[in-house]
Amino acid sequence: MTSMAAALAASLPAAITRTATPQQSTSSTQQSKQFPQRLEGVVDVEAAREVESVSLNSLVFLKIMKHSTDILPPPPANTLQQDRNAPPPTALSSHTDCLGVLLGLDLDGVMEVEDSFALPGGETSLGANSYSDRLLTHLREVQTPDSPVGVYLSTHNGGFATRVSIELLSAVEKVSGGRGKAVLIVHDASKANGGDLSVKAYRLGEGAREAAKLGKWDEKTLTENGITSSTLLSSLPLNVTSPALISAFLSTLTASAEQVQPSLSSPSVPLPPTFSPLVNPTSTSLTSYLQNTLDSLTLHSHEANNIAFLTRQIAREKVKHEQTIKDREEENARRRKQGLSEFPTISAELKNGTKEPSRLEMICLGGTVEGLAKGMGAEAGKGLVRNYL
Amino acid sequence: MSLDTSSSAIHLNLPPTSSTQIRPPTLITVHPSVVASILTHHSRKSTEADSSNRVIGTLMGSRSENGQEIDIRSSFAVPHKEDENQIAVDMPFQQGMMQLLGKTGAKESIVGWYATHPTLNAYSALIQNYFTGETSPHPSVHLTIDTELDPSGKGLGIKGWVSTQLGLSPKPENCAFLPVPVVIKYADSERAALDLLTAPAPTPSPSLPPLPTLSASLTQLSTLIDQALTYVQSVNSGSQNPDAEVGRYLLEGLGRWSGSDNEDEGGVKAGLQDTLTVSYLSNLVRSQVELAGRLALLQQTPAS
Repeated sequence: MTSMAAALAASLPAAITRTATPQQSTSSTQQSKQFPQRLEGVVDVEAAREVESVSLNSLVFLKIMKHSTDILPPPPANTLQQDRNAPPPTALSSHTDCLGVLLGLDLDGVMEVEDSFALPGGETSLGANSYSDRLLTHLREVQTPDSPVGVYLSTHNGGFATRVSIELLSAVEKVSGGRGKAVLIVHDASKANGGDLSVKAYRLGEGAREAAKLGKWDEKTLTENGITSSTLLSSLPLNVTSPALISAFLSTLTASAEQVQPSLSSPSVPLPPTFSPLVNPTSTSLTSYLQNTLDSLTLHSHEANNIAFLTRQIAREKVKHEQTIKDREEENARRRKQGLSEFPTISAELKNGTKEPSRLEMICLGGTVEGLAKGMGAEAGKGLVRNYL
Repeated sequence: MSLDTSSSAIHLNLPPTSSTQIRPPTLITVHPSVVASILTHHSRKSTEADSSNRVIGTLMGSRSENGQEIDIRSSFAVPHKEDENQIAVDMPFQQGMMQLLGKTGAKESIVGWYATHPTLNAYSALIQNYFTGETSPHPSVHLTIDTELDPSGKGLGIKGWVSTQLGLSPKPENCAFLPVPVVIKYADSERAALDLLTAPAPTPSPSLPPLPTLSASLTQLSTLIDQALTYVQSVNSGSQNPDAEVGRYLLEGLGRWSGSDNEDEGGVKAGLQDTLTVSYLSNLVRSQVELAGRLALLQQTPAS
């Protein structure tokens, strides 16, 4: 049965697509001297091709896995959304998300990610003198590719992006020239505990790209670009490649080095084959999924309350301001009658008012709820299969 | 599960050489990402004539309580120049990197250094001395990887070493390197990722839904059962010598299995109800979220 959610998502009218302008060939011939011959057709100087797929190096893959199992301190307070109350502590938010920057190059429509590094919690920019800038100057000395092409995120919240990661992604877009090529790789750590691997690649959807460029995520930009949690990101196919030395190393993990008599007590290879347990675990794992979904709903409703409060605040201030303008007009009219000098009119603009709240957190939380619910459904499906074994 | 070729050496737990209670490490556990990182650094080194045939870098990780086990979690390369007369290592680079990496919050410290060539010469001793200064009072660990794929080393010989002073008067360029066993260590949640990487080519995409892995595991189990069945049949027909150990394992496995299918009847019914409810609930929540997103868009459009 097709899910109702998917049908709803598909019925959203598509945002206006930008038409690609035809590229000049003269500038490309001038620059062709800088690139070696074999890369000429492949290096995308004017960003004519959109990124079509992502190819991860196995090094980056392993580094993401390692980062996800690090024990990290809770994030510093300046990363929380600036609002009246901090969100209530839930079991979901007790796992710190792991963020990092991806480095690489895009060739011929394929974004090749060669290396990565981890970011400390609390970093939201990649500009000059930030942590990533300083680290990149060091990495450059050891011939690491130094152009950030995206962000990776390892999270327990159901495989969706968080607000911090989207902000980092827009920062990467700005650094790389804003051509819409920044890639987000999401590793779902909550599924990994159950033995499933879930690593997906995304890129900002078209409407979201506009909003990211402006840096504003309030209601007007949302409706203009038609952004909901399902159109925020568009997914890209992903595969993993290994250079020669590393694949040699990986094969030594599974193949035994010499012809020893295999003993039944200790495995002869470092990585013995694994079997997923066939026992039906849904009695324990389903409750944790339900708990996570409830937690994310709690966070979502908390955020909705905050935004509602801020909206009411803005409306109140607006009313007060209009009242003062009206009073000023009446005052001026009175003084005109009396022939006195007039007060200056107050502009209709509200200075120092409460700013429009950013809706990005809402979108991300909405996506979180959906991701967790999807995970719940998948787990239930697996349980059904196991039941019939 | 040693990464190196199995040797017949026994590793003794030596008593501490000084009055302090610090013992030399007896086991080194390495995360696979460290090995991949070292190999990548090696493949990126410049191919000019005056650079040596190895790259070196720093290892970071944590130690166990008594210093016996060292867990290596990450690494980074350090630029260095080496020729017959002298060796130079970029120390401010390393200190800068340590300072930056300390901000990420993971509790890691320097535990040693690595080199991508199996030779251990006087320069290695000098560098080892420098690193021991950095990791004092604990001894520092040296890891060598044979990237020449020397046939006598049987593949990537990943070896670990600790150093002790040698000679009558301690000089920085004299030391003896003692081998330490090296083992790969990974967390359970990374197991699926490692399976993916070591699967026969072409590597499947990591974003597949979980059901194919379940079906792969089921086919694997059925082939194994077939293998066991043919073995038992051949032993029964006398064409193969029975091995008592294998027989005992099979008996134990079957015994565990047959005792547990009494409560399955009730289990299926109860489990079915629950899983169907949850599946319906998840679809409901997803549709709700989608509707909420669309409604948020509607609020701003002017009434027509």
